[in-house]
Amino acid sequence: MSSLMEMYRNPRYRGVLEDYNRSSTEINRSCGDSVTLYLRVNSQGIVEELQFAGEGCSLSQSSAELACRLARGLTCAQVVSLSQSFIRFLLAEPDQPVESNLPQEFSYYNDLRRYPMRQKCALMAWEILENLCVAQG
Amino acid sequence: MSMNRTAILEDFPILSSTMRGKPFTYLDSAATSLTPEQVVQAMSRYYLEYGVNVHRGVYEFSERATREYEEVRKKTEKFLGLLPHSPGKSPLGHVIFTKSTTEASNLLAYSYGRAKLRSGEEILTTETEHHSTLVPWHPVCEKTGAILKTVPISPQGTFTLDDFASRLTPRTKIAVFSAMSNVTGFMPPIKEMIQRAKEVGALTIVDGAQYVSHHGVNVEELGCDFLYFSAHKMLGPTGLGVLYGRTEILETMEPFLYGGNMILKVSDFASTYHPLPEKFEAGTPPIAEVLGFGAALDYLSNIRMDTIRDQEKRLLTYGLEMASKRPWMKVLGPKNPEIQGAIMSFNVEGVHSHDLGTLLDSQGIAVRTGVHCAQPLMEHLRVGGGAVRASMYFYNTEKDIDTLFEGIERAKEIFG
Ligand SMILES: Cc1ncc(COP(=O)(O)O)c(C=O)c1O
Repeated sequence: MSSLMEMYRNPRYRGVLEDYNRSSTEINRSCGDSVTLYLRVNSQGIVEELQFAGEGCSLSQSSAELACRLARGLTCAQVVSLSQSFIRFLLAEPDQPVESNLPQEFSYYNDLRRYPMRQKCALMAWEILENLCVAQG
Repeated sequence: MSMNRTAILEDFPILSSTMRGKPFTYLDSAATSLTPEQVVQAMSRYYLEYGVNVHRGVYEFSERATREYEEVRKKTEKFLGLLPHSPGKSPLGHVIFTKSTTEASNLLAYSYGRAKLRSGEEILTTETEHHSTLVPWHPVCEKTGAILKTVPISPQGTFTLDDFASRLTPRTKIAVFSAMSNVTGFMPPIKEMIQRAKEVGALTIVDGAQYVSHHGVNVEELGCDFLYFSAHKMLGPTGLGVLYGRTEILETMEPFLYGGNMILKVSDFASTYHPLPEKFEAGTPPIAEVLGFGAALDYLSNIRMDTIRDQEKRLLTYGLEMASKRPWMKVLGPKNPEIQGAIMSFNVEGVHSHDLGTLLDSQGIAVRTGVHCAQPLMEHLRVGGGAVRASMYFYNTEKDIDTLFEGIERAKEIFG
């Protein structure tokens, strides 16, 4: 929880990227949480810069921060695979550890595996990110 | 009369269970109430001993099911203060069994609203409404050209009789409002509102989904034309709603659903309908649920509605007092047990309502979070991000409130 709280309280990527070329917003109908991602993807398909904006609970906002931290500098294809591994991680059995080739930050969300009703909160940012990276190659 | 705790724990075994490994603390009765053993038994007795259809067979089991089903209708009428029908005289009103509050509200919107409203006529409602009481009237207005007007609320989620009455006009054909808000617990002066609405000739519809489970009602005294509520919020099973309606209005309305049971005589191209209430009960009704509801009504009558109200008032007063000692807690609503039912919605500074809900859940405490099927209200109260709602029923105790506040304190520590 403490590292999740650190990302929630002191985000490094919160803000509106000035020269973004991809952006999308999602709103969770059940609670009103929102996340917007701004990406600058270069001609080689690398996510050069990204930032997020939004309002909501610790899960929706910290995972937007985490998605930004981890996606920066990756190719779109790598981002898609990272996002899918986060989804697989959340759906795994509660006691299964994070696979060694995956970012260990995922483990901050371990407890969330027992709270399926809240998983949508943590997935919002990853879904936006994945769509932004899939949509335009 | 005070309540016998041992008996309550026996009747509601779920109260002794655990959730997330912690003793279960249930503070979400406004969503649905817990179900006592007696209700479950009435339903299982029906299924195991005489589980056949009503109004159909001529054999003994069907006669028994039909008789008991109709007895629950009478019990419901009595619960609502309707006097027994005198032979030869048309009763003041009827009890119709529906699937839910939501279905009852839709029945009125279709069979009355769509059929009878004309362009430019007005429907008056309030900003506190649950989606199920508000939303069915939106398409009515779209289809008929009628106009929906709303009574605005104060920052405490309240409005006065004047706020309401000043919006009635000679064009107001329907006034529809809830007797108790599912978010703030606010209870407006419905008796006076009904009276004023009648003075301009408006039909009056009361959403009793929250109110009826906690307060005795007498529809003859209230004078409303319609009142609806759900069995599952008053110890009964899911899948059953009650619509009370005045006979003379129900008689002018077309059926809502068509099919078996509501039909008197059918030829290939036309049919005539059964008299009330069957006209509005097409198809096989929720028989087991009605029988379970009968047991729920018995249970409530045994405790008495005024005992329930007293107990809940005490709990709410206690909860509000605890909250007032914590300046970082923001309670929504009037904060006055005289005009507030057993609901306390709140936010905690620095903790998002969803996070708070989950932290409480992890301590075995069930509360509701989010916008509570009342988005317009949440926006008017300026809590678009939602709030946590603790709602109580007679089976709750001061200890549950203490547990809630311990949970809140822990959440505050983690996020603080
Ligand atoms: C005030 C109010 N009206 C209507 C409803 C809808 O009831 P149901 O979902 O049983 O149809 C509810 C239930 O949450 C309610 O609280």
